[in-house]
Amino acid sequence: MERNPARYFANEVLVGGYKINFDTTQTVKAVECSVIWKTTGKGDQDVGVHFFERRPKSTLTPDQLRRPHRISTVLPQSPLSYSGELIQITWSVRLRVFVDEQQYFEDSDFQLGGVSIAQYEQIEQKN
Amino acid sequence: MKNNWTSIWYLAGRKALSRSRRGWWTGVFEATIASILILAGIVLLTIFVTVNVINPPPANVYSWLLEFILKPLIAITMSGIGCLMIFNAIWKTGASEERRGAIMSKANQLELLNEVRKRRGDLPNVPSKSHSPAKGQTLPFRIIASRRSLWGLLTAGLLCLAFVTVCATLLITAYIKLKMGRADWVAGLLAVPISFAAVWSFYRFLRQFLKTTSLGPTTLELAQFPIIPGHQNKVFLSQSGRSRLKLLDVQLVCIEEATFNQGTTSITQRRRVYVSRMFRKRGIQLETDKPFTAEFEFHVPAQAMHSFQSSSNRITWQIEIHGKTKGLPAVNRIFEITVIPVIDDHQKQMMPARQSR
Repeated sequence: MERNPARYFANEVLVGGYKINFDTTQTVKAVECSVIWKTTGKGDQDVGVHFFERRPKSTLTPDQLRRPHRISTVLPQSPLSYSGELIQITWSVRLRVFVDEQQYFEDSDFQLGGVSIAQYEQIEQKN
Repeated sequence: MKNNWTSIWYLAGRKALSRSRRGWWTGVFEATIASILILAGIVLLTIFVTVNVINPPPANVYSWLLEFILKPLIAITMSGIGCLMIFNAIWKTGASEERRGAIMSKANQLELLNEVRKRRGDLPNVPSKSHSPAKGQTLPFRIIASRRSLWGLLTAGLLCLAFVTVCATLLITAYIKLKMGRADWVAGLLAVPISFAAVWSFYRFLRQFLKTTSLGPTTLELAQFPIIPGHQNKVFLSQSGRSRLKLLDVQLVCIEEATFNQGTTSITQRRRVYVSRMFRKRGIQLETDKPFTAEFEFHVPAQAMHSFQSSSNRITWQIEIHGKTKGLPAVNRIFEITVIPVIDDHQKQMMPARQSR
């Protein structure tokens, strides 16, 4: 990603790129790059895909893979990154590489929006 | 609008009961009569069916009509009237007069509301179909109360119905067989715990009924909808009824809700991550023709999280109204609201970039 720290706001354009160095004895069957949000915490994980790009085997020559490949997407207005007590929402750029019969993936997290943590102010419930 | 019953009561110049007690007794009376009618209908229907199954069919047509048509019809009618009474009480409580009128005339489809719905369609994972407001009378948006308490009442009612039916069947079977000289000990013994369960479920149902209907309709209207964090918002609250409220407390609450699977069961855990008092008043006298009204302001913190919904996780914002009446269970009314993400000036400038893609 172009920014460090990786912090974006809604409707901004996320620009990034990747290149893959690999052993030439292996065959890269496909490369998938996606911009996703995922929930972590107490509940089961939910994943939402905002951007997805798949490069099939026919377009993946060793030279092409070693060259930086750029992606860009306009970020949505929601859900914003959040770190609560039971729920955390994290945005990531996920790169998934299919090599021979295996697949590898790596996430680069970034923050979307400026939501603070859950405890803003809390009053005692007095009856 | 004046209530005829109240008018007649005052014209007669009688004051047998204080206003607060009168509301209490009316609720209890309605609930008791409705429950007695439903239960009597079920018990009678069970008796007629059981007797007809055990006894040989009647010889003439008139007796057959009486046993198989007329008597069951009377029992069903009794239960039906009881159900109608309960439905009427819930309908009056759950919906304000204006809302009932709006539902009847289907007049709540306004441009303003359509605009709200359209705007929320651009926000992924922000609940847009639920919590849709209706047109307000004092302020533009009327928030619809959550139906959770009605589902609780329905569940309690069905449970009560099931236990009473089983209990009545067992008791009648045991009685008839005893009368015939063949004591059925199994039915008799089973009837004991089931009777306790029937009494308990009836108590639960009565309590839930009073909880749902003891307080009149609550109307909550907002000046702005959906809610934008950091923006001041005006609230109009109207509470009708016929009792004296010991306490009326209004709170803004944010709840995190996470659902996870543990073995074969699905568990939902909730945590209140934000509570802020919006309004609080003690000793409110509610009158049938003059609801209690209050106007106040509130805001969702500027950096607060917006409403969020996915398959297993939810972040909900709601306005909770707690009412305490002497001698009745506390009433909780929940109004879910939608909080949308803040779009500041910097973000607005970026918006054309999205359209150009």
